Amino acid sequence: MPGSTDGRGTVYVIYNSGIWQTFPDTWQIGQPESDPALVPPSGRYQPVQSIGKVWRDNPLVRQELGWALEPQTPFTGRFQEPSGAPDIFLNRVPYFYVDHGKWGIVLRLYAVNMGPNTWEVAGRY
Amino acid sequence: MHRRLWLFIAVLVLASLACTLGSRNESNNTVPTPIPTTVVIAASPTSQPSITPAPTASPRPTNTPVPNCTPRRDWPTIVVQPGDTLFGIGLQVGATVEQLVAANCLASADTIYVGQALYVPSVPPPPPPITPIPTCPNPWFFVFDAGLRRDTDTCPKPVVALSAFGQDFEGG
Repeated sequence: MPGSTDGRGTVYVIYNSGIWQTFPDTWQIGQPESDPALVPPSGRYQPVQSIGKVWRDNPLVRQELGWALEPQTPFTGRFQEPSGAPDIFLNRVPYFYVDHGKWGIVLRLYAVNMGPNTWEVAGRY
Repeated sequence: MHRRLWLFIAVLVLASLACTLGSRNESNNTVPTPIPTTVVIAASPTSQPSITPAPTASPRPTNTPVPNCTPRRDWPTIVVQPGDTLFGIGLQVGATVEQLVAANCLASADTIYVGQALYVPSVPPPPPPITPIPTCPNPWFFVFDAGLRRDTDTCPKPVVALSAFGQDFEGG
Protein backbone atom coordinates (compact mmCIF):
# COMPACT_ATOMS: atom_id res chain seq x y z
CA MET A 1 0.00 0.00 0.00
CA PRO A 2 1.09 3.51 -0.57
CA GLY A 3 2.92 5.90 1.51
CA SER A 4 2.28 9.49 0.54
CA THR A 5 3.00 13.05 1.46
CA ASP A 6 0.24 15.60 1.35
CA GLY A 7 2.16 18.81 0.94
CA ARG A 8 1.39 19.87 4.47
CA GLY A 9 4.31 18.04 5.97
CA THR A 10 2.61 14.79 6.75
CA VAL A 11 3.43 11.33 5.49
CA TYR A 12 0.51 8.92 5.48
CA VAL A 13 1.33 5.23 5.62
CA ILE A 14 -1.69 3.11 4.79
CA TYR A 15 -1.30 -0.58 5.47
CA ASN A 16 -3.20 -3.39 3.85
CA SER A 17 -4.09 -4.62 7.30
CA GLY A 18 -6.61 -1.81 7.59
CA ILE A 19 -4.68 0.60 9.77
CA TRP A 20 -2.86 3.80 8.94
CA GLN A 21 -0.25 6.00 10.52
CA THR A 22 1.04 9.48 9.98
CA PHE A 23 4.53 10.80 10.40
CA PRO A 24 5.77 14.34 10.18
CA ASP A 25 7.62 15.04 6.97
CA THR A 26 11.10 15.89 8.16
CA TRP A 27 12.94 15.54 4.88
CA GLN A 28 14.22 18.77 3.38
CA ILE A 29 15.84 19.58 0.09
CA GLY A 30 19.56 19.21 0.42
CA GLN A 31 19.36 16.17 2.65
CA PRO A 32 20.21 12.76 1.21
CA GLU A 33 17.29 11.41 -0.81
CA SER A 34 18.14 7.79 -0.15
CA ASP A 35 20.67 5.49 1.46
CA PRO A 36 23.04 4.05 -1.15
CA ALA A 37 23.86 1.24 1.24
CA LEU A 38 20.35 -0.10 0.91
CA VAL A 39 20.25 -1.89 -2.41
CA PRO A 40 16.83 -3.12 -3.47
CA PRO A 41 16.41 -6.43 -5.21
CA SER A 42 15.69 -6.49 -8.90
CA GLY A 43 12.39 -4.90 -9.73
CA ARG A 44 12.09 -3.14 -6.41
CA TYR A 45 12.89 0.42 -5.39
CA GLN A 46 14.14 2.19 -2.34
CA PRO A 47 11.75 5.01 -1.44
CA VAL A 48 13.31 8.44 -1.58
CA GLN A 49 12.88 11.92 -0.17
CA SER A 50 10.02 12.34 2.33
CA ILE A 51 8.62 8.85 2.05
CA GLY A 52 12.11 7.40 2.02
CA LYS A 53 13.12 9.22 5.18
CA VAL A 54 10.13 7.89 7.09
CA TRP A 55 10.87 4.46 5.66
CA ARG A 56 14.49 4.58 6.70
CA ASP A 57 13.99 6.22 10.09
CA ASN A 58 11.26 3.87 11.28
CA PRO A 59 12.35 0.24 11.22
CA LEU A 60 8.86 -1.05 11.93
CA VAL A 61 7.48 0.85 8.96
CA ARG A 62 10.25 -0.39 6.78
CA GLN A 63 9.73 -3.94 7.95
CA GLU A 64 6.01 -3.75 7.34
CA LEU A 65 6.17 -2.07 3.94
CA GLY A 66 9.15 -3.82 2.46
CA TRP A 67 10.57 -2.44 -0.77
CA ALA A 68 8.70 -0.14 -3.06
CA LEU A 69 7.13 -1.67 -6.13
CA GLU A 70 7.62 1.47 -8.19
CA PRO A 71 9.15 4.92 -8.03
CA GLN A 72 7.06 7.51 -6.24
CA THR A 73 4.69 9.41 -8.47
CA PRO A 74 3.14 12.84 -7.93
CA PHE A 75 -0.59 13.27 -7.90
CA THR A 76 -3.13 15.84 -6.85
CA GLY A 77 -4.97 14.28 -4.01
CA ARG A 78 -8.21 15.40 -2.50
CA PHE A 79 -9.24 15.63 1.10
CA GLN A 80 -12.77 16.15 2.34
CA GLU A 81 -14.53 15.78 5.64
CA PRO A 82 -18.13 16.06 6.79
CA SER A 83 -19.31 19.34 8.18
CA GLY A 84 -21.41 19.92 11.23
CA ALA A 85 -20.70 19.41 14.88
CA PRO A 86 -17.32 18.01 15.78
CA ASP A 87 -17.38 14.27 15.83
CA ILE A 88 -16.45 14.15 19.47
CA PHE A 89 -19.81 15.75 20.28
CA LEU A 90 -21.61 13.30 18.06
CA ASN A 91 -19.98 10.40 19.88
CA ARG A 92 -18.48 9.01 16.74
CA VAL A 93 -14.98 8.47 15.55
CA PRO A 94 -13.66 11.42 13.56
CA TYR A 95 -12.97 10.58 9.98
CA PHE A 96 -12.24 12.14 6.67
CA TYR A 97 -11.99 11.11 3.06
CA VAL A 98 -8.82 11.00 1.08
CA ASP A 99 -8.36 10.46 -2.60
CA HIS A 100 -6.04 7.53 -2.67
CA GLY A 101 -4.40 8.95 -5.73
CA LYS A 102 -4.60 5.73 -7.64
CA TRP A 103 -7.21 3.36 -8.96
CA GLY A 104 -9.95 5.91 -8.54
CA ILE A 105 -10.81 4.91 -5.04
CA VAL A 106 -11.44 7.08 -2.01
CA LEU A 107 -10.48 5.98 1.47
CA ARG A 108 -12.30 6.83 4.66
CA LEU A 109 -9.69 7.32 7.34
CA TYR A 110 -10.82 7.03 10.93
CA ALA A 111 -8.78 8.86 13.52
CA VAL A 112 -9.28 6.45 16.40
CA ASN A 113 -8.57 7.89 19.81
CA MET A 114 -6.11 5.84 21.83
CA GLY A 115 -6.09 3.12 19.24
CA PRO A 116 -4.75 2.30 15.83
CA ASN A 117 -6.30 4.40 13.11
CA THR A 118 -8.36 2.38 10.68
CA TRP A 119 -9.45 2.88 7.12
CA GLU A 120 -11.78 1.45 4.53
CA VAL A 121 -12.68 2.10 0.93
CA ALA A 122 -15.64 4.50 0.95
CA GLY A 123 -16.28 5.19 -2.70
CA ARG A 124 -15.00 5.78 -6.17
CA TYR A 125 -14.73 8.52 -8.73
CA MET B 1 -59.59 -8.52 -15.03
CA HIS B 2 -62.80 -10.31 -14.33
CA ARG B 3 -64.42 -8.90 -17.43
CA ARG B 4 -61.43 -9.81 -19.58
CA LEU B 5 -61.54 -13.40 -18.34
CA TRP B 6 -65.17 -13.60 -19.11
CA LEU B 7 -64.63 -12.30 -22.61
CA PHE B 8 -61.94 -14.85 -23.22
CA ILE B 9 -64.23 -17.67 -22.20
CA ALA B 10 -66.99 -16.33 -24.36
CA VAL B 11 -64.72 -16.33 -27.39
CA LEU B 12 -63.75 -19.92 -26.73
CA VAL B 13 -67.31 -21.03 -26.40
CA LEU B 14 -68.40 -19.29 -29.54
CA ALA B 15 -65.37 -20.45 -31.45
CA SER B 16 -65.97 -23.96 -30.26
CA LEU B 17 -69.57 -23.69 -31.26
CA ALA B 18 -68.54 -22.33 -34.62
CA CYS B 19 -66.19 -25.26 -35.15
CA THR B 20 -68.92 -27.65 -34.25
CA LEU B 21 -71.32 -25.99 -36.60
CA GLY B 22 -68.73 -25.96 -39.32
CA SER B 23 -67.93 -29.64 -39.00
CA ARG B 24 -71.60 -30.48 -38.84
CA ASN B 25 -72.19 -28.53 -41.99
CA GLU B 26 -69.32 -30.32 -43.70
CA SER B 27 -70.63 -33.70 -42.69
CA ASN B 28 -73.99 -32.81 -44.19
CA ASN B 29 -72.32 -31.64 -47.39
CA THR B 30 -74.25 -28.42 -47.30
CA VAL B 31 -73.03 -24.96 -47.86
CA PRO B 32 -71.32 -23.95 -44.68
CA THR B 33 -72.98 -21.29 -42.82
CA PRO B 34 -70.76 -18.30 -42.47
CA ILE B 35 -69.37 -18.30 -39.04
CA PRO B 36 -69.99 -14.99 -37.46
CA THR B 37 -66.65 -14.74 -35.82
CA THR B 38 -66.72 -11.05 -36.17
CA VAL B 39 -69.66 -11.10 -33.93
CA VAL B 40 -67.49 -12.47 -31.24
CA ILE B 41 -65.07 -9.60 -31.59
CA ALA B 42 -67.86 -7.16 -31.81
CA ALA B 43 -69.31 -8.75 -28.79
CA SER B 44 -66.87 -6.97 -26.60
CA PRO B 45 -68.96 -5.57 -23.90
CA THR B 46 -69.43 -1.95 -24.62
CA SER B 47 -72.35 -1.59 -22.44
CA GLN B 48 -72.28 1.61 -20.60
CA PRO B 49 -71.81 1.22 -16.96
CA SER B 50 -75.01 1.67 -15.22
CA ILE B 51 -75.25 4.95 -13.52
CA THR B 52 -75.23 4.43 -9.88
CA PRO B 53 -77.30 7.04 -8.24
CA ALA B 54 -75.23 9.30 -6.13
CA PRO B 55 -75.51 8.31 -2.56
CA THR B 56 -77.60 10.65 -0.68
CA ALA B 57 -75.91 12.21 2.20
CA SER B 58 -76.58 10.12 5.19
CA PRO B 59 -78.02 12.10 7.97
CA ARG B 60 -75.53 13.06 10.58
CA PRO B 61 -75.89 10.65 13.47
CA THR B 62 -77.22 12.16 16.51
CA ASN B 63 -76.19 11.15 19.89
CA THR B 64 -78.95 10.18 22.08
CA PRO B 65 -78.41 12.16 25.20
CA VAL B 66 -77.42 10.05 28.06
CA PRO B 67 -79.64 10.90 30.94
CA ASN B 68 -78.07 12.28 34.04
CA CYS B 69 -74.74 12.86 32.26
CA THR B 70 -72.74 16.06 32.37
CA PRO B 71 -70.08 16.48 29.68
CA ARG B 72 -66.59 17.44 30.80
CA ARG B 73 -66.82 21.00 29.62
CA ASP B 74 -63.71 21.81 31.59
CA TRP B 75 -61.70 19.69 29.16
CA PRO B 76 -60.32 20.97 25.85
CA THR B 77 -61.93 19.73 22.70
CA ILE B 78 -60.70 18.16 19.53
CA VAL B 79 -62.59 17.69 16.31
CA VAL B 80 -63.11 14.19 14.97
CA GLN B 81 -61.31 13.66 11.69
CA PRO B 82 -62.03 11.07 9.00
CA GLY B 83 -60.73 7.73 10.14
CA ASP B 84 -60.74 8.63 13.80
CA THR B 85 -61.95 6.16 16.36
CA LEU B 86 -62.44 6.68 20.02
CA PHE B 87 -59.74 4.13 20.68
CA GLY B 88 -57.27 5.98 18.48
CA ILE B 89 -58.20 9.31 19.98
CA GLY B 90 -57.81 7.81 23.40
CA LEU B 91 -54.25 6.75 22.56
CA GLN B 92 -53.42 10.29 21.52
CA VAL B 93 -54.90 12.02 24.52
CA GLY B 94 -54.16 9.46 27.18
CA ALA B 95 -57.69 8.37 27.93
CA THR B 96 -59.63 5.15 27.70
CA VAL B 97 -62.61 4.69 25.46
CA GLU B 98 -64.79 4.47 28.53
CA GLN B 99 -63.46 7.78 29.82
CA LEU B 100 -64.15 9.48 26.50
CA VAL B 101 -67.64 8.01 26.28
CA ALA B 102 -68.40 9.22 29.75
CA ALA B 103 -66.82 12.64 29.32
CA ASN B 104 -68.82 13.30 26.16
CA CYS B 105 -72.01 11.62 27.28
CA LEU B 106 -71.94 9.34 24.27
CA ALA B 107 -74.49 6.61 23.98
CA SER B 108 -71.75 4.28 22.76
CA ALA B 109 -68.22 4.30 21.42
CA ASP B 110 -69.53 3.97 17.86
CA THR B 111 -71.51 7.15 17.70
CA ILE B 112 -68.82 9.70 16.90
CA TYR B 113 -68.84 11.41 13.53
CA VAL B 114 -66.50 13.54 11.49
CA GLY B 115 -66.57 17.11 12.63
CA GLN B 116 -67.83 16.30 16.07
CA ALA B 117 -66.15 18.08 18.93
CA LEU B 118 -65.07 15.79 21.71
CA TYR B 119 -63.96 16.67 25.17
CA VAL B 120 -60.57 15.16 25.87
CA PRO B 121 -58.32 15.41 28.91
CA SER B 122 -55.45 16.86 26.91
CA VAL B 123 -54.86 18.01 23.38
CA PRO B 124 -52.33 15.83 21.57
CA PRO B 125 -49.16 17.65 20.61
CA PRO B 126 -48.91 18.70 17.00
CA PRO B 127 -46.85 16.43 14.79
CA PRO B 128 -43.22 17.46 14.54
CA PRO B 129 -42.51 19.66 11.55
CA ILE B 130 -40.93 17.90 8.64
CA THR B 131 -37.35 19.02 8.40
CA PRO B 132 -36.41 19.42 4.76
CA ILE B 133 -33.28 17.66 3.68
CA PRO B 134 -30.66 20.36 3.30
CA THR B 135 -29.17 20.88 -0.07
CA CYS B 136 -25.46 20.72 0.36
CA PRO B 137 -23.51 23.58 -1.19
CA ASN B 138 -20.50 21.30 -1.62
CA PRO B 139 -20.93 17.91 -3.21
CA TRP B 140 -18.83 14.93 -2.31
CA PHE B 141 -16.05 14.59 -4.80
CA PHE B 142 -16.72 10.88 -5.19
CA VAL B 143 -19.56 8.42 -5.25
CA PHE B 144 -20.05 6.33 -2.17
CA ASP B 145 -19.99 2.60 -2.53
CA ALA B 146 -23.24 0.93 -1.61
CA GLY B 147 -23.88 1.04 2.10
CA LEU B 148 -20.72 2.97 2.89
CA ARG B 149 -22.27 6.37 3.43
CA ARG B 150 -21.79 7.12 7.11
CA ASP B 151 -22.82 10.76 7.28
CA THR B 152 -26.22 11.04 5.66
CA ASP B 153 -27.16 13.84 8.04
CA THR B 154 -24.32 16.15 7.19
CA CYS B 155 -22.97 18.01 4.21
CA PRO B 156 -19.35 17.82 3.21
CA LYS B 157 -16.91 20.60 3.69
CA PRO B 158 -15.20 21.92 0.59
CA VAL B 159 -12.66 19.71 -1.05
CA VAL B 160 -9.07 20.46 -0.21
CA ALA B 161 -6.63 19.75 -2.98
CA LEU B 162 -3.36 18.14 -1.98
CA SER B 163 -0.14 18.01 -3.90
CA ALA B 164 1.18 14.64 -2.93
CA PHE B 165 3.45 11.81 -3.85
CA GLY B 166 2.32 8.25 -3.72
CA GLN B 167 4.13 4.94 -3.82
CA ASP B 168 3.12 1.31 -3.56
CA PHE B 169 5.09 -1.17 -1.51
CA GLU B 170 5.35 -4.90 -1.59
CA GLY B 171 4.28 -5.44 1.99
CA GLY B 172 1.90 -3.75 4.32
